[in-house]
Amino acid sequence: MWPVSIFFILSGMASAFEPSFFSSVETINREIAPTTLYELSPNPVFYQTMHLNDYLYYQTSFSDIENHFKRTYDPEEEREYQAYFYAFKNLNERSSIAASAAYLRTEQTDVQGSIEKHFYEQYISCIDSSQADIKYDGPQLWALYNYRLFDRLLVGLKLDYGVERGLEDVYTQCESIIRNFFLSFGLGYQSINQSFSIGTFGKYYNRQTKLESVKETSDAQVTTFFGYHAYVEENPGSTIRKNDDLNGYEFGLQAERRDLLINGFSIQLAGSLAGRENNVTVGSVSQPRARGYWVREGLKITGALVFYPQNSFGGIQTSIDYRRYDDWIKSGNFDVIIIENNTSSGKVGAKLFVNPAGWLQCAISGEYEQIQDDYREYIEPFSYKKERLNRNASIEFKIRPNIISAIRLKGGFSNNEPYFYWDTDEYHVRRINGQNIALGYERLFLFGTMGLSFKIEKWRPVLVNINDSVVELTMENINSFGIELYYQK
Amino acid sequence: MVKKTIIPILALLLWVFSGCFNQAPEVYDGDLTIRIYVEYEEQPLANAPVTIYTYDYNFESLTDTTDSSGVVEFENLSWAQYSTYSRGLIPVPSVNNPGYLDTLFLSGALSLEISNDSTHLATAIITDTLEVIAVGTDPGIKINEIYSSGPPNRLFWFYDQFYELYNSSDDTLYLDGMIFCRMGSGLANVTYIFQFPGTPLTGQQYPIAPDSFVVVAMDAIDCRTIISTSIDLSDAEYEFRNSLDYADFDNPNAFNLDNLETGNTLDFMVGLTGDVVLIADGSDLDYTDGIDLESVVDCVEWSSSSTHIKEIEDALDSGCGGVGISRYSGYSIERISPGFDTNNSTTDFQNRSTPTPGYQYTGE
Repeated sequence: MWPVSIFFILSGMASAFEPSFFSSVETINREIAPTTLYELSPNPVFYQTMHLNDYLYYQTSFSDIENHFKRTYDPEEEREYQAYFYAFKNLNERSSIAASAAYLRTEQTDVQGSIEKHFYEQYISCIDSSQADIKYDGPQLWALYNYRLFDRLLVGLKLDYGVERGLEDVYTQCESIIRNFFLSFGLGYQSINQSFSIGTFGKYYNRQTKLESVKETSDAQVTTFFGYHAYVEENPGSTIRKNDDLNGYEFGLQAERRDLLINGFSIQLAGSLAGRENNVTVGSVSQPRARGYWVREGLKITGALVFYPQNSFGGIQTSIDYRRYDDWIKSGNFDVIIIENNTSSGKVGAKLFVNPAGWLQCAISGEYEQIQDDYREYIEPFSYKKERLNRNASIEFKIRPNIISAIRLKGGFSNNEPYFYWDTDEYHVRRINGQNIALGYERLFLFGTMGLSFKIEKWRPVLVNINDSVVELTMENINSFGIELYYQK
Repeated sequence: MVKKTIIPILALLLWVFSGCFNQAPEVYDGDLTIRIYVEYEEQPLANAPVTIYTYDYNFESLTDTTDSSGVVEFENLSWAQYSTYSRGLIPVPSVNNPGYLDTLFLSGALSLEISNDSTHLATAIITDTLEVIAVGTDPGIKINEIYSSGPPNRLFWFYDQFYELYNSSDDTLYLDGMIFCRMGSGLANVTYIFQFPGTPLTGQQYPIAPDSFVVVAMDAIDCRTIISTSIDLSDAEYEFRNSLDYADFDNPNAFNLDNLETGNTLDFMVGLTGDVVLIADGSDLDYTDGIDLESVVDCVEWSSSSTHIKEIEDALDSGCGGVGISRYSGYSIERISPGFDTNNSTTDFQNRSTPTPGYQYTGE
């Protein structure tokens, strides 16, 4: 399901319970600097490439997305409230530990057929007959431990655990319970001066999802979709439950060479192989019916060339990212393939860092992505084979008017080609233009640094009508607003 | 040192994980062919309309006509559990006038056996024979409509259940002494047994004229006074009244069917989304050993579940109506035309969003 999901772009944390296929790193309050090896490929042993010193971070945040250009089963509005705590500590010369605890509340309003949190991210997904508001609550925890076994050999372990519960406000009062668990184990080699690093990690993850619709008076009526066109009306019943058991693995390699040939020039290269299986059953609690078995396997290769000499006026980073997913879904009733998908994407990006004065840091970046989709449904024949282009650019400033305060300013725009399930044929939508701007202020106190930031994002679908004239759908924007307050030390 | 350590580990991990998941099937959906042979009195039947349908997906039913060999074929279907029926006015060789054709209303239904075995998947062709019979060869009193789901309400109220009987014969028939039963699993298990007034077999006090309906209500009252979304049953000709239940409502204008079961103090209630009911001529009143097959006049099984496992013997009802009806939806099931009976409720009945006590549904 590689196609761009604007919701996932907007709300990274909301997807925390829908694990991304390839591991990704949540960066907090990131400085203007080149990508680290851990961000490129999250091997626990290289966590210290992000943080060298002890670090403490508290954050509360709120974001709101109004979606006037919604798909049928998207919420009209989505609000998120988050409290986040993060700490990193070097225990001694050989070992370090990091841990995080977050509590997230997500409120979705006016969700039609409100069972799935993200209907379009699943190939086998359910709706019921209600239109309702849903609240999701849940804590997420992770902990990481690194140990330098010998001078050059490192081992690391990361553990993630999260539970989330969602409850719909009207009958069929659907309840969702999601529990996920990740375990990563990494091994790495790092030269004494840290100019050369190579490592590997393995990750196992497991997620159990239960979505349950219960009757009030009339029976719960649930529909299960197989892809986006074929569906089955489940037998009405007092309780209809969807079970989705996911097991997956990822196996990655990464290497970095710093100060290659000249000071400040480094190469990063990483690759991952990943696979996962979903087993989905739907039906009454006592007699669930097999609805499908979904396997996704994929490959990711990323790399970066960075030239960023220390104490210089700037630098440059170029990056590449190639991903490929192969999906197949087997019918729950017969040993036949009902959906198949092959998606590959290639992305190149460049980022220019300019530090003209000690009080000013600046970065300009741009990315160009080409995605090839080949999606097929066989139950009710449907095929979508297309090449899509996405582009984005941004500019970012960090200004220090004095030694105790800093102002952050970031703006950008994007131009994405939507996937077919955005009803693009019906509306003749060809592209979605996005703009975003973020403004932050932070101040150093005796007890640490406090900061406040705001973010506004807007997406506009672009129509091409029969005369080939281009029109922006100003009334059907997707608008997002976010605010966060943080403390770090 | 690094290469010697890491490369074997990578190879081992790849080997371990590569076999984690099931293998992909070799067959793609959408290549199924169903071939139906239609026979009438063991002879191939040409020009018969055949319809196939499934509850597994949201597909429209497909209809085609048999060729001169009595065969019809549906291609490029998705793999699912299908049922098929043939129903309509079809010309067949005349028995009385050899060489001529008689046009008869024929009907038949069949659930296709489609298993997940490799033979089916490899050939992707399912073949079966559908036998049709002439409708109206067994006229009589039929259970024409059943309403059990309850009206839309938030009080769990469902006491407006009723059954509509229809006389599909050309003669006046009599309900005297007949029994009305709710069945358990099979003909041997009687859950409730109530009896019409009068003497079984010989009585002629409670007639039902040709081509007419009578309504048998749980209670013959205007249920709209209790639940506004319910129906008016105050004109029902018959009602169930258990004389062991002193609180059971009794409408003096309606004839009573009384309980025969020792110790049963309940009214005649059936499952909201599924059950089996039958009417029998009353010659066998000993319910403890079940009901004699020969005495059964009509029997209907219904269930909201498409995967329902049949309760009653196929000889009485080889199908099951009411698939998809939910509790408190106000839906009933009714024969597609008055008295239409092929002993297969799957095809004989249709779901109705509005119950029609005492008359046949004529359209939205």
